[in-house]
Amino acid sequence: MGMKILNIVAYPFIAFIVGMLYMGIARNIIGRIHRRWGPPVFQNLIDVFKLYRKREAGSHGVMFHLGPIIMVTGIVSCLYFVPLLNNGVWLKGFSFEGDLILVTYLMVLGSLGMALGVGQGGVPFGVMGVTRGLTRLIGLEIPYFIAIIVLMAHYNTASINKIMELQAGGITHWGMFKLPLAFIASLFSFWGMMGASPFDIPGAPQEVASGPATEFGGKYLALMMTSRGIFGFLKLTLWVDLFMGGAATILILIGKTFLLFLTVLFVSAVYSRFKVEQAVDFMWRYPTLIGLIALVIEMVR
Amino acid sequence: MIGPNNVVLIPILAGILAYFLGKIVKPAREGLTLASALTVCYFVFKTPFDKVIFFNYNFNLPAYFEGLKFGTNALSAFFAILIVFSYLFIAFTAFALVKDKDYHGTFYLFFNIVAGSLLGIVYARDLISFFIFWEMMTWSSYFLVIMNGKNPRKTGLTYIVFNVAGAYFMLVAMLMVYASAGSFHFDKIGTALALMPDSKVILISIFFAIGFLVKMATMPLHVWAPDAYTESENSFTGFFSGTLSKMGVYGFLLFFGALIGFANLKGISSIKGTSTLGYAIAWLGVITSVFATFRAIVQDEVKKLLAYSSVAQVGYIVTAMSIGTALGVAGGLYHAVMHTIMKLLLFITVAGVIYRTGKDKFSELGALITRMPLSFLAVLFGIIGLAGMPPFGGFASKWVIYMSLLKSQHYFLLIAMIVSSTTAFLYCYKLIYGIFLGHPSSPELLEAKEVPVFLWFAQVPLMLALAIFGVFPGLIVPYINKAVASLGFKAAFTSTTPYTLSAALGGFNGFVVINVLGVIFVIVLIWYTLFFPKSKKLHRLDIYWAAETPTEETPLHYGYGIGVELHRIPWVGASLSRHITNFYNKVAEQVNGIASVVKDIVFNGDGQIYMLYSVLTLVVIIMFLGR
Amino acid sequence: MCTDNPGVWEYIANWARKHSIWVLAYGTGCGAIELPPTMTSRYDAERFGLRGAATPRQADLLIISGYLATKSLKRVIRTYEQMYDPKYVMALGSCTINGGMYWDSYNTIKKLDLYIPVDVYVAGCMPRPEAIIQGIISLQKRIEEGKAEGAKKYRENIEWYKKNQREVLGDDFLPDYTWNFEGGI
Repeated sequence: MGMKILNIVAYPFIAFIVGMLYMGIARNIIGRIHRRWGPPVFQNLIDVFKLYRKREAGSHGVMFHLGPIIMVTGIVSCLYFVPLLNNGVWLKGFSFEGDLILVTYLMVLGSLGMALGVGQGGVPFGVMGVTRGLTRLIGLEIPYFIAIIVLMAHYNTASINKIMELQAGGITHWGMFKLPLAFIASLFSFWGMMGASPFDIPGAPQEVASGPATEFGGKYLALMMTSRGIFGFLKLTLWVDLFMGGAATILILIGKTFLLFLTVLFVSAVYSRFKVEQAVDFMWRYPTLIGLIALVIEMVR
Repeated sequence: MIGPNNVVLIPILAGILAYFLGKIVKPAREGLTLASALTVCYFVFKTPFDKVIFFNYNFNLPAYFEGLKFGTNALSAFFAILIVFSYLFIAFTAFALVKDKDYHGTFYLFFNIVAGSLLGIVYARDLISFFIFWEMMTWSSYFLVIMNGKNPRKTGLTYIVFNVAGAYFMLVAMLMVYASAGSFHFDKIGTALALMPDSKVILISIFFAIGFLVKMATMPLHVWAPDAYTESENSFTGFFSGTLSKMGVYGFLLFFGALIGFANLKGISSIKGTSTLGYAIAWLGVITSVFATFRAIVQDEVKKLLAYSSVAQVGYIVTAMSIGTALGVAGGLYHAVMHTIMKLLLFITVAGVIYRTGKDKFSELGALITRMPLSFLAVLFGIIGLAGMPPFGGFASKWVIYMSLLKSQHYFLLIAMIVSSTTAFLYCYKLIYGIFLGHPSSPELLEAKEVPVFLWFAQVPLMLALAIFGVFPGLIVPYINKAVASLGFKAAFTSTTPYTLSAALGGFNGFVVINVLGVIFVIVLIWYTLFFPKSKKLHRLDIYWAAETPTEETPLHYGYGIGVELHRIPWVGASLSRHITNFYNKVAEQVNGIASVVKDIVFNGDGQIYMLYSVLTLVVIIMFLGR
Repeated sequence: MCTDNPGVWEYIANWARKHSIWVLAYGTGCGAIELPPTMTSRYDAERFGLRGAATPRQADLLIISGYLATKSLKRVIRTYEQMYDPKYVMALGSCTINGGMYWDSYNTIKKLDLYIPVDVYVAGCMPRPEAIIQGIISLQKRIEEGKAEGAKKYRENIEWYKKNQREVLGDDFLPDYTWNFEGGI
């Protein structure tokens, strides 16, 4: 019982620390790509701590106040339905109580709560950001869903734990090698969901003043950053679970997620931003096509 | 004993009585309607759910006239419960919203008749009574559509033309059935249909399907729906889009499930385990939902957005049902329940908002959250349901549909459905933002009052229902299983706990989901409240506006803006710029042309020609009599 | 974890604030051109934890990069008031100190400190990125020592600041809701 509680309490903290460090590493590596030193890797932890210690924050109303809280609630809840490890009881959360479709929908719940907060904030830029985000989602979800449909059809289950189990036994059993086309299709969505550069449309500081985050400062922004860190780690873990066979220990998990994170980083370092309609159009063309080929192959088999 | 037979009559009589009695005592209309709704609720709940009961009315007619037959089984009871609930909630709504209108009396007359005829449809046990009540529903709802008087000619005409055409297709099919079965009786039809030649079965099925697809507003027969939903009397629209459209669902299941049987159709020709006809209809369903979703997003009228969303959501039901597996039908039924709840909730709330503000466009509303917190919450619940988000019932029903499509391996249908389902987030957000968030489009919105108290009686139970179905997604499963079993399937779900829903490939536990969400929310809220300095209250206009100081006149509400970028996405933009109405308009033009030619030849105003017609008619009659 | 009494938390917080300064660059004058090189590869201010902020709500440091026309002053005040405590102001160039080459101009302000509290002045015409970084380092020192309390100073002397602002802005003064809503700044 004690172990179980420890497991559950540890969940968001692991995700938070690792997610934040990844974001810091990203800034550092992008700095190196720009031929400068870049900030230290724990820069984002300092940032978020500073934001939590801001003495002021303004609120536009109840929903504005609740927006970031709902966001973090949705994301942490979603995290609990994704198993971090595939060995025994450690860090399983409630992943036996929900399946992949639940996780997929829970991932959006937090953003919807946030969108309500943004709406009450009353900044048109924020709402534009939300609209861009939701429009982008139309594009992103299609290759993602095609990929997970292929996955669910291939393994004949929607449970993340079972999908992970069925990939056990060596690197060749991993989803990314068994279903390479589905993996590639999902990777595009993954980059988009991680906010990597061609798809970083909602929070564009140049056009819509950082979009949904425009009116949020101080502790609200801190909570948003926290949830962004957790969310990043959640998505990385989900992809590792689905396509890279999960992980037996935390170290392996960090190794695998880091590899996946590097792809995000390298894509985002070299591309500039799409317009929202370009992003949707792109997503509906190549990744969807790749995904559909994967689906047809799966159906023929 | 009062059984299904008399239950049908209660609302109809109540309606007629309300109309005439109301001329003397005005409140009698409300009172009678409410009384009738409560009585009907009581009787429907007293009827055992899955018992098969029959009643015959023979009226001492000649033998070839079979008389009318009524009865109930699990499927009928399932829909009857939906109907009586909606009836009750709409009665509450109308109580508050219709009292000052000049069509007060006629509203209650036709509304009650519609409710009665809906019950008649689900309790009918022969095609003739089914058709009588079907027509009654169409005609009485027609008056409720044109009553508001915004654009009665165009809207009403479209509505009636499509629905009557659908009904006559059905009538033709019924007569074809009668020709071979020699009876209108449901139990006799089934066996007769099984013996019929395949081509005839297909033709009958298509004719029936047209009738039901019109009611369910499936593309390309959906043209009437958006306008009719938008322009019908506000308090009735919930019933119209939530419950009336479900009669298509019921009819569809009745005919394809109970009478002809999905297995029978599949035997004729099938694609991937679904009958070819069903597969085609399934595609119609998803295509409807995709395009209706796109179109919903770009609407400026609140009710029109909901109308298109309604068309889209019923599209899911069509798809799920027509793949014809136990799980598919279960998904359709589940979503039918959820959609009824969501649309009642949303339309009732929107009716209240329009009643209080007098505005019905997103570009004219905004910032009502502080003035109407309960309505905000109601719409929030509604959109979480519409979007299919986890803590509420909308997710459960969508989950079943996804699982049914996955299990029957209709992956392409599923992908198309995902397109629609993901795009739906946009209109959900537009709905809640445009009405309740952002800035007020006009200053008087800041003085608007919360919707009338009587609407709360509808809103609160509906919100609770959505939440309960989310927390206990398995609660409804036994009833769905029984309804599905009455169509000759095995039970769709195997698990029976109220907390969980599990089928085919996976499952989820709604109770755990809500607990995880709730606990984390409370923890974060407490931590946020206790350990941080209280945030200062900002003025509504104190926003980031590029260092400018916006005034009350600055247009800050982005209500209409949501969805404009949809026009710029290549394929979506192309689909939005075309409208199927154009096609029907062209058809109408052609028909007009032909008709005028015919008129010139046949009715040219020449007296001698008319005389000739009468003589010819007489001759024909004499010929027939002489035989 | 209450913030009112300085203690170990405040010490740690000051350390974090020092190492994480989000900059809102108000590009009024010629100094704006010095900021991009400060942030990019050559001088790389991100080493010190500096980072651009998109809106005043998120920013810690407001950089006034040069002379301020009275018209811009209104926007600067607005931006400053929208930032959340603790917030800092860095003024670049002589123009913000004494008017610089615009010392007798009719529509630029001469002393920025009269209108909003300034934490660090960086003198020069224009100061090079090295000087800006020097300024940031001295700001960091002030933050660490807990001396960079511009927001507090502004709040306490709000009447005086508003008087000064009103003298310059006249009829074009900021609407009440920006600073006098429910207890003011």
